[in-house]
Amino acid sequence: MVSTTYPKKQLIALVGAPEAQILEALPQIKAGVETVDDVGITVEITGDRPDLLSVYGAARALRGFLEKDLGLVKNDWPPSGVKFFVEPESEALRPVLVGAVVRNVRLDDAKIQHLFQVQEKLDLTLGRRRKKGSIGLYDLDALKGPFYLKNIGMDAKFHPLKAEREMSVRQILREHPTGKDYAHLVKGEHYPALVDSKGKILSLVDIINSVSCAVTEKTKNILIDLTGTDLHACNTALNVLCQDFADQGASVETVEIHHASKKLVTPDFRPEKYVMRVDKVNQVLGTQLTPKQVVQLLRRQRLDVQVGRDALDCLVPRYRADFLHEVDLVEEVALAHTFNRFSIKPPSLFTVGSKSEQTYVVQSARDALASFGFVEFMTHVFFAPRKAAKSFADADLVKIRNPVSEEYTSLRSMLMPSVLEALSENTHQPYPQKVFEVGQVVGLDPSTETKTRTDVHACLVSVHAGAGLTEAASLLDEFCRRMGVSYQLKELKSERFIEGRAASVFVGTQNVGFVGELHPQVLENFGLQVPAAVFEIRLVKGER
Amino acid sequence: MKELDRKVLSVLSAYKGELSASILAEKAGVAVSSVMSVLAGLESDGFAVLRKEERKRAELTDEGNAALKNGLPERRLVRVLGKKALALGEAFKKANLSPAEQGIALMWAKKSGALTIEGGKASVASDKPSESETALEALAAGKSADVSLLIQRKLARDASEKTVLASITASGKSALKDPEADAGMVSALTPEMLKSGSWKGQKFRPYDLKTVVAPVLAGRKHPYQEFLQKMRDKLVGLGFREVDGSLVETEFWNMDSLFMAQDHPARDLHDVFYVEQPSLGLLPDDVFVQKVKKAHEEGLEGSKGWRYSWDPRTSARLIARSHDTGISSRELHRSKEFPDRVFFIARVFRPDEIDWKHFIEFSQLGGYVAGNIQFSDLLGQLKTFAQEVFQAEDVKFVPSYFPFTEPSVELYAKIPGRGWAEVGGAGMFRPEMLSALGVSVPVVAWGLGIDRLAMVSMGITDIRDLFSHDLGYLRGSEAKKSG
Repeated sequence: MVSTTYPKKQLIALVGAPEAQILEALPQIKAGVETVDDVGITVEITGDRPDLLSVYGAARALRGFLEKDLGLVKNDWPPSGVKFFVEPESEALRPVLVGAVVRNVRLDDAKIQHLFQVQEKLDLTLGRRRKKGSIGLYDLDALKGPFYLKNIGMDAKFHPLKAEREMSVRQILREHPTGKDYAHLVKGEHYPALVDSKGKILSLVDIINSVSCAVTEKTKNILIDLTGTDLHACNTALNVLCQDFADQGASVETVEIHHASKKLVTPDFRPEKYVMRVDKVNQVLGTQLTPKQVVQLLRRQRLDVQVGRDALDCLVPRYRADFLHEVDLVEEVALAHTFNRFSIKPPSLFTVGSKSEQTYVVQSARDALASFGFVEFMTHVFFAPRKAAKSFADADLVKIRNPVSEEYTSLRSMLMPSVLEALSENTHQPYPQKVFEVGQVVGLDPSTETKTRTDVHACLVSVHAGAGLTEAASLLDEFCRRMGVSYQLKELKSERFIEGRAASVFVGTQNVGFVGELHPQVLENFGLQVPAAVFEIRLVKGER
Repeated sequence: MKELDRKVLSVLSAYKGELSASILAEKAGVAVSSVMSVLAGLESDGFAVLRKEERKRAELTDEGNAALKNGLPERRLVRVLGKKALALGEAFKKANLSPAEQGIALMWAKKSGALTIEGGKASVASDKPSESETALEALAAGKSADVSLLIQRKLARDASEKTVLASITASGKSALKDPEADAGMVSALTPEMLKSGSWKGQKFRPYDLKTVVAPVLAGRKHPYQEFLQKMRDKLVGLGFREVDGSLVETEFWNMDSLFMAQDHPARDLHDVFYVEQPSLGLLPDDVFVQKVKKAHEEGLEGSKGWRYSWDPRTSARLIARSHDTGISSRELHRSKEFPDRVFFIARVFRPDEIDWKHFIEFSQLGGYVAGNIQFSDLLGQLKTFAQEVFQAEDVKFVPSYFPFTEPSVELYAKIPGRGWAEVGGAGMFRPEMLSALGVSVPVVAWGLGIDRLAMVSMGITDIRDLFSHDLGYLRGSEAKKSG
């Protein structure tokens, strides 16, 4: 999801509809309105609709949706004669190059700002932060074709944007703000650059362009290139830009891309053909639309449709990124029909409702423990290992690679440390303090699919002047009887407990927990000045 | 009246106003704990009035003290940088920051604007003391400080103290003055009196009905857990079957089986918590894995697929599940008895800034309906949820996008007292996903955001209070003061 701002006046003028109507229609074409002020309408665009990143794309879609223009925008973009040659060493680093020429553009400051905003958001979304593709825009009249994508050395020099002077590639990567940001893309002593026939460097591709051919208000003719790794993404982004220029009245022309082993003509603007069955539409959506209605609805989405013998042949423009399957066309029909116009059916399938086995166990355990007079805690699954250390608990935790806080670096493998930590923040409350938690914990288990296991534990802590093993053991006994578990106690030696006042809890041969009187050191570690007795046992052993 | 009661009451009678329990204990020469039980008795006899008062105070935790001594992680980072620009890794090493501290240092340094990072190199932008540092030092110096940030970072803890203040009542005074009038009365009926019959003609000391009754420290369930339980009951009532999942999942089930491309932005470090140790899990049977691979690379069921080279190793990586839809794909793979209607309530994890509106751990209520079902049925189902779960007066559907559903829809509900709110996302699972799972019927799926609703039902405004462990609040004796 990325947000973008349409200049409000311009959008209203382009669509030719009142503001209120536009604001109502925008969410229906998948541009969710976030804020509106005097000058702009800020919307959120999902990953499937890069064409809506620009005001021209939005206007195009809205004019269809509001039935001002229907069907495909017809393009016939002639060859420009401009050629690009890709050297094999550069192809190895950036395998995809596409481009276009746009003539007779009319730019002003606001239009340039918008163009750069669209460029940046396309780089971010379709280009996946310039990994899949990155856009370059140049003043064609400052250059002489043909153009070459070739590797240049670290000492090659040019004057980059956002700098005062000419710099070497080495300097750009070390000192230039944008150069430094993308220096990680450069591995080794050579890097691909776009160079014109006079040897002038247009750009260090994906990193920074040269000042000498920058697009300004005076620019009349623009050269566009995209370099990257994904031809489909690059060609889509190129079509988004070219269609925007075409909508503004400029002339788009194709260029030739010559690789050692192949030749491309870009942009590839031929609409893609998809076949869709009308009965499929009605079957998926639950509608009774006629072929004629479906055709009309698709034309509102700016698609062209020919009615074939058994199916509809749909033509989808190349600036749309989201067509993989027939079902994507079905969605277009639903969008144009508008979701709120569907006749809604109440649920008709009958199935029997039930809680999961785990839920039954968890609910019985919570019922039992609360009935003992204990208050329920609910702590985070995220865990700080220091809590385990303070209670001499298992330090072999499932660790998170990218935590956002020192408090949440691992997952809990036991409930007791988190419950004690919570009690340490309640020392001002009246005693006795009797609390419990029933919840999921995660431990390491090399035998499962996830190398870990999510179990359910129950933990009870009783803190008061007379708290001891006797109380905890009786509560454990009653708890196990309620849960229908038969258990044995075995002597447990652990730093966590006062010696001789703790036991392991066994169900059959499996050690499922412990009961005991906490060692004064543990109490001190948690800042508790009142004796405490605890038990914690596993209630459910997970599959993974 | 017992001797001890008389002693405490006479100390009280010597003072005009209130006395704290600890001073009272000192004056009466008895332990605080016994004074408390005496006072409770005096209060129930109507001889004394008790009042609780809280003194706000905070104290440094071990981490707080360590930070005071060595500097906060971000300060240590800024310190080693000085005027230099260093690669982050190098700076971390020099500052001797543990991996967990590195993230913290980076986050807070960025937040306070102390650090600039360009081209992987960090340099100091400002070495002014941050909000955390100012508060830390003020607290250590015993000055008044805004400690909320420190408490949030666990550098300080709330050490507010509660005191009990007691004062004598009129009947207390008269009982003390005139032991005779009180002499013939007893405060309680005893088994002995019943056995001997001495209760006949016995006068009982009357209760003062104005005294505040002592709170009962009863068992209570957590309100968030109770809310989730209520959600379960509603879904079961609507005919849904509950299933469970595990907290750690492979990317395969959490993402790949849902037809989410491996370079999808929702899969990067900003959106998912990756498990470091262990880091890789196992993929399921190869026939299934090959189908998923094919769905991604070239498509199934006439789809074009995402057209890239699918990497099994990426798919085997372990994560703390970032959403609940992975439970759907597991269940659809396991159980193919249709029609089926399934739901789950799942704790999920997503990196975010932590503040009153955002937390990194939350609950989702999701599920699916598989069978002879259409998009219009999905809208009907969503409307039912809005009415049953959110008590909505009206609903609205807005188009949306999820990589695993088409069409996709967002559900808006008009909730009494709250107005229009987005309450969930839904859609029909894509054919590429269903085909790889071997499911031959349409499946509609949905996920509802219920934490907002839980906050309303708990009467809180800070999302972190969902997991409140404040005993005063949980015992029901204090309201939760959020924000």
